[in-house]
Amino acid sequence: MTQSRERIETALGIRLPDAMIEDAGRLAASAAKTARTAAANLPESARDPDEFLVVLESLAGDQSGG
Amino acid sequence: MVDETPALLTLAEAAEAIEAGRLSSLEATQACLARLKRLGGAEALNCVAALDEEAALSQARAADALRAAGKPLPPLHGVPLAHKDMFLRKGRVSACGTRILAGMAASETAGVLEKLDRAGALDIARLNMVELALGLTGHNAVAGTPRNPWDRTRITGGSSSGSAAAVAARMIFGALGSDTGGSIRFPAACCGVVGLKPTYGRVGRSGAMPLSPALDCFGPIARTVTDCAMLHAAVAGHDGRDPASSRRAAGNPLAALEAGVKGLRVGIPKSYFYDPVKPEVASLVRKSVEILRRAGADVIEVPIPDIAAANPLTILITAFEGAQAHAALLKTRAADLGPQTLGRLVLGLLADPAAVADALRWRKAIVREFCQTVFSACDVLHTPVMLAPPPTIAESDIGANPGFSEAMAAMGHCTRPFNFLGLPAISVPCGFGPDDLPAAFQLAARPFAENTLLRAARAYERETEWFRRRPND
Repeated sequence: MTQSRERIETALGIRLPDAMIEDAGRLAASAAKTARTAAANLPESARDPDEFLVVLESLAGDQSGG
Repeated sequence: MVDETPALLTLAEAAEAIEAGRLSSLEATQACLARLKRLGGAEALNCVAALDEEAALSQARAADALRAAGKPLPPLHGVPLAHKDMFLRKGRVSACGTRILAGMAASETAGVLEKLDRAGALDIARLNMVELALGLTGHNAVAGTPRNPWDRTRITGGSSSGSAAAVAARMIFGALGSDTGGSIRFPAACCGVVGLKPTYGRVGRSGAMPLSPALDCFGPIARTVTDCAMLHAAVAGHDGRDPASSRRAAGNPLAALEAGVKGLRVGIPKSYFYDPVKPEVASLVRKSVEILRRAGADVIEVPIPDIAAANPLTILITAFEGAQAHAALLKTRAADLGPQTLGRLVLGLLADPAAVADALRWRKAIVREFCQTVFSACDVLHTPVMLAPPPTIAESDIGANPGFSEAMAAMGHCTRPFNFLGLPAISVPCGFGPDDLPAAFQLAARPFAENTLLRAARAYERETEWFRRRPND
């Protein structure tokens, strides 16, 4: 976290409050764990290269404009 | 003294009156301008970012001249609208709720504004919003926080805060907002108006401030379902400048709007959506189910796949893509951002790109499972929007109450899943709670089924007409 903080503060050119970095770091770590868990359980067939819009259009059903 | 009463009409009533010649566009515009000036400023509801009165009146006079010339009129001819301050118009400034962009004139016009121009609508003001659209409460530390017209100590919800407040307070007939995690539906619910988030890809996003290209959707906020349908009809459809814009036909949302819900299957979720909802909100939402049932809907309990991860992953994707979209601002003007905005973007800078890729991969699988499980059993899913009545501005200011940040993340419990899934969803007013604050329910449907949502929402609205009640000036 210290390295990440230094990298970000250098990039932004400002010092960030401790609470902001701690909050954001905690949320990022927790969300990363959630994402890994969700993706780990995917069947191989779910690893398709389709764009999300293509997936949505395939699920639209027969409701022309509906 | 300007007559403000034309501003109290619904959009549909105003459009019809202008078309029939009973109301001029100038009279309608003067009424809206009077209310925007009287109620929209910082000392009142603080929902106006900028107003160009002369330009607005000039547009209205041109609309009246066109009608007098006997030309065929488009559906929104001469109707004054105003929008969230993130839809660019060439030569005009759109500040996007931040002081950083306050002096920069746009070099292009948003596709949605071009479509509304072609539909004959006027664009008379820019409305306040959460800074860079990053937040559901409506707080804005740099441009000021809009106030809820039903109780000025309460939040409007965000990020389309000014849009919802201005529509609710009868300053304007309708407004566009953007919805990345609930930013149309949540403020619409808090302010007692209707808000439609269309399917991802249904409404083009060219020429507007991006936040999260994987999630962003644009849609209408208006007083009635019919008004929302009219605005949706004008802006839906392909946008050649948006690479994620669908070519699927949008149909006419007004064609079957009054067809009712007889035989329509309304699904009630067996899990997830009601889990953290306060009883006073849940009871009003459940009453709306009974009204739909009495109107002829088949009400069915439906199982919900495990979508608990959708809320935190929507926050993650939004922060990550937001930090990319605003990388130049972050590099040069980070110190000028409000603390809440900066905090969200710092989250994006700390986010692991591999986690974001995992999240985007999972959503393609979960939306298939969700549609298969839920929409094989029902046509529309009925859920709450808010977990609790709108909190006060003071208690939900995380600058002053850091402990509120968890509650703020939880606010998107019912709305963010539909951004993650890319599905259309509408927020519909369903009465008032014990403190006389608005309540709302949400309907969601299969991809591109906006017209079914609007038809079901209209069937409920016809039975209740909550839109007849308006906040005190």
